[in-house]
Amino acid sequence: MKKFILAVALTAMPVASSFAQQGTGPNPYVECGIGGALFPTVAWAAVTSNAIWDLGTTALSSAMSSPEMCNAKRVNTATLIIQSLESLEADVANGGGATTQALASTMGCQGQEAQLVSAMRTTMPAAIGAAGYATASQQDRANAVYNSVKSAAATAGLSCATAL
Amino acid sequence: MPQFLARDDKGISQHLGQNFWFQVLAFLCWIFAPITAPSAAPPHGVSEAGWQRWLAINYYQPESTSKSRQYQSEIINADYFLAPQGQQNPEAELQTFLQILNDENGTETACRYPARLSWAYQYLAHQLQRPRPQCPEFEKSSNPSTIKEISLLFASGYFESPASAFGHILLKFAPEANLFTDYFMDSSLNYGANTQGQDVGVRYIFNGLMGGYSASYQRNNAFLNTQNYTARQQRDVWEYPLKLNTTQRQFVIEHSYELKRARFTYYFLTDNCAHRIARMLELATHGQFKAAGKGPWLQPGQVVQALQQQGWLTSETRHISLKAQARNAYQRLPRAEQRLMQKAMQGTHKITDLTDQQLQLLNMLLDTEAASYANKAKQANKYTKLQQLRQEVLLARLARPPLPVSERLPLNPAVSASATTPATAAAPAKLTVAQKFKESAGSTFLTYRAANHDLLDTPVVGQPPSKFIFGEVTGEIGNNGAKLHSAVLLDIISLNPAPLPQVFGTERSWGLKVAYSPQSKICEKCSTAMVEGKLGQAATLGKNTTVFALLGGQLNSRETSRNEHLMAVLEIGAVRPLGPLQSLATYRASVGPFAGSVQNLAALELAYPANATTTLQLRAEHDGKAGAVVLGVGLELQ
Repeated sequence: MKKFILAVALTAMPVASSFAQQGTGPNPYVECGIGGALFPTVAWAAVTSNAIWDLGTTALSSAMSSPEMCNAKRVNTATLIIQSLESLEADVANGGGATTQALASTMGCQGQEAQLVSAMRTTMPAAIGAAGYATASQQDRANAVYNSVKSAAATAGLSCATAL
Repeated sequence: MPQFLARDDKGISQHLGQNFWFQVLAFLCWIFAPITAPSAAPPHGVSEAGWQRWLAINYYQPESTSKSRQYQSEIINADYFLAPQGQQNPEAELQTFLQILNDENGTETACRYPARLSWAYQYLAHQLQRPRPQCPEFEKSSNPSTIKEISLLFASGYFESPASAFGHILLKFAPEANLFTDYFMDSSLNYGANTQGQDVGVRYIFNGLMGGYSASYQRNNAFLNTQNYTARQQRDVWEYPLKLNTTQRQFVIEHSYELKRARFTYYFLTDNCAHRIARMLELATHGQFKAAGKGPWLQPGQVVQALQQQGWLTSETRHISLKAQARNAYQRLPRAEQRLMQKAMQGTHKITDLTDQQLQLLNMLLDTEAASYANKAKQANKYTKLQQLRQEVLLARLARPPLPVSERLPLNPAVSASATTPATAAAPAKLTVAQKFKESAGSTFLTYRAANHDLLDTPVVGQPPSKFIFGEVTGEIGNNGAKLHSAVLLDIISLNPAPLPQVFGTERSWGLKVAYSPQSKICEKCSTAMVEGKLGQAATLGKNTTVFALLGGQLNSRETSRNEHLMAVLEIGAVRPLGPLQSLATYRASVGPFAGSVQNLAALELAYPANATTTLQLRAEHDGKAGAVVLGVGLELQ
């Protein structure tokens, strides 16, 4: 039975879905300069806790310099996704957790977390299952998940979907 | 300090050598600039208490000279101050601030300093011509009235980064629940060096130790801070809500806002995150809380312990690391199921045949390994394979219904009242008096450890046993008088026991020792300068026993009957708690590859915590020819 459900789910995914297609459209990581600043090129520097790793402040600066394109909610949501990508994926897969709770709050979806997670469980397989997702960069994967979150909020008719 | 140095964001050392003539000119200007020496007494109209508070919140330190008493702020960027010589002259800075405050056009500037504003309207209300100005930008980002709680976060020690070996502390601001979005980016206060990730190796260490970096406070996101520690760096985070009243909380919010523009000089040992976070709390409580330790420096864990001892902590929550979470779940599985998980990780068991719980754990195991890869050099093929398997697991889980809440693995497990936590762990500094008993002659040892984290210390719950000694001196008093027995600069053993299946990589144990030291307590005259490095593996047996084997080499300065200049070293051992005792048994073989000499040493060490600050210690050792027993009393220095 479980095999059957999985088979149905996999079949239901868009066959032509590819990772490149998931990455098209608005990309807050490129437009708002979030990814590069958060993930320095020197690998060990990113894990040096006593150094100032630029969480938040860089993103906020970007938001302020380009308010039309990079409103605070959009930047905050995109930052949360790229910084907690693996936990977010796991939380959605399991049905919810601390990261989906933080995501809902960040998007202004307080009280609607259950609906958001439920909708994300529908949109996420297409993003995660796209060819090339497993080998893509953190920024590209985050962008795919960001678009999936945006789509989920819109599909579920949540008011917090605006301005994402 | 010359202002051309103080203005720099990149650290003093990086400045030297750039724009040499500009620096010479600036230095001459600084030397010959007229300086109005401030008086030690408060200015007219300012109470003594108000003046002392002004000095404190602007970090002025007195500098006594032969002619007059002068001040120098610890804030190194001159543009933080309003008066041209505000860094050195607290009275001039105060006058300028008051002028701006009384000027209708000065609101924007005055609002950059909300803690100063509160100070002015507390101590100098009668001199102020306007009501306290409204500061919309501050109110929007940091309105203190909406912060219901401030907590101290302690991230456990992290051997991957030398700057974090003793852990890290920061503050978390908890706003009213419905304000989460507004505070998303600003819900924690961090203090750290601005290393910018450009320096590596010796330069990084030198700059960190010697004041080569500037440092600053940063407001970040508390959730993502915790996420970064627990999921990426695999460190537990401990959360301690603080018993601060409304006024004290207000000060922290206001002062941290104005200090976003301030820079200090970073010293890893004597002016680090522990000092500055503690200083913030000392200022907020007007000195009711004091973090000063007896050692020459302050470590993050000492601040937690001082807060606990002085009654400032209300509760304790452990945000468990992903690795510890996976380890707890994995160790609870029957052996057959553990083998099944290993097969699934190796790709020899169908993912779709796993239960919901097994899929959840498998995802955790993969994320734990992925985080280890992300922190180290990536091996492209293995990493890709791991991510592909992870993708398969996520899709399988997404294809099934959500897990009931009761079946999701707990994120913050309850901590047993008897467990050792950062608040109750051993203090880092220790003084030990010990007596050696030996067939030929005994002697007395007196040891001082500045920063101590030993294999014999009861580890904080969730942490594997490890050793991190940074600075230890031992004197020996015997029949021939007193002498230096050993001086240890660094002695690290990171065991990293790996109870989890590791399909894509291997966790290594490692050790590094830089010291002037003998090989054992038996040998009387064989202390030698040495550098020793070891690499190996450790495993957890049962619930509490950690066994390890390390292989490496030692370079010596001195050849004796027990040392050769170059020696290969094998060390095997086991650490195990025996009721209240902590025990360590080791066997060590040192081989001189040129002379072919082999020396053996077997040792058993026991530590018994007699009370909160006193430990009784025993070490018995034998090298096949002779033996020695050392009995000691260790006194923790908070």
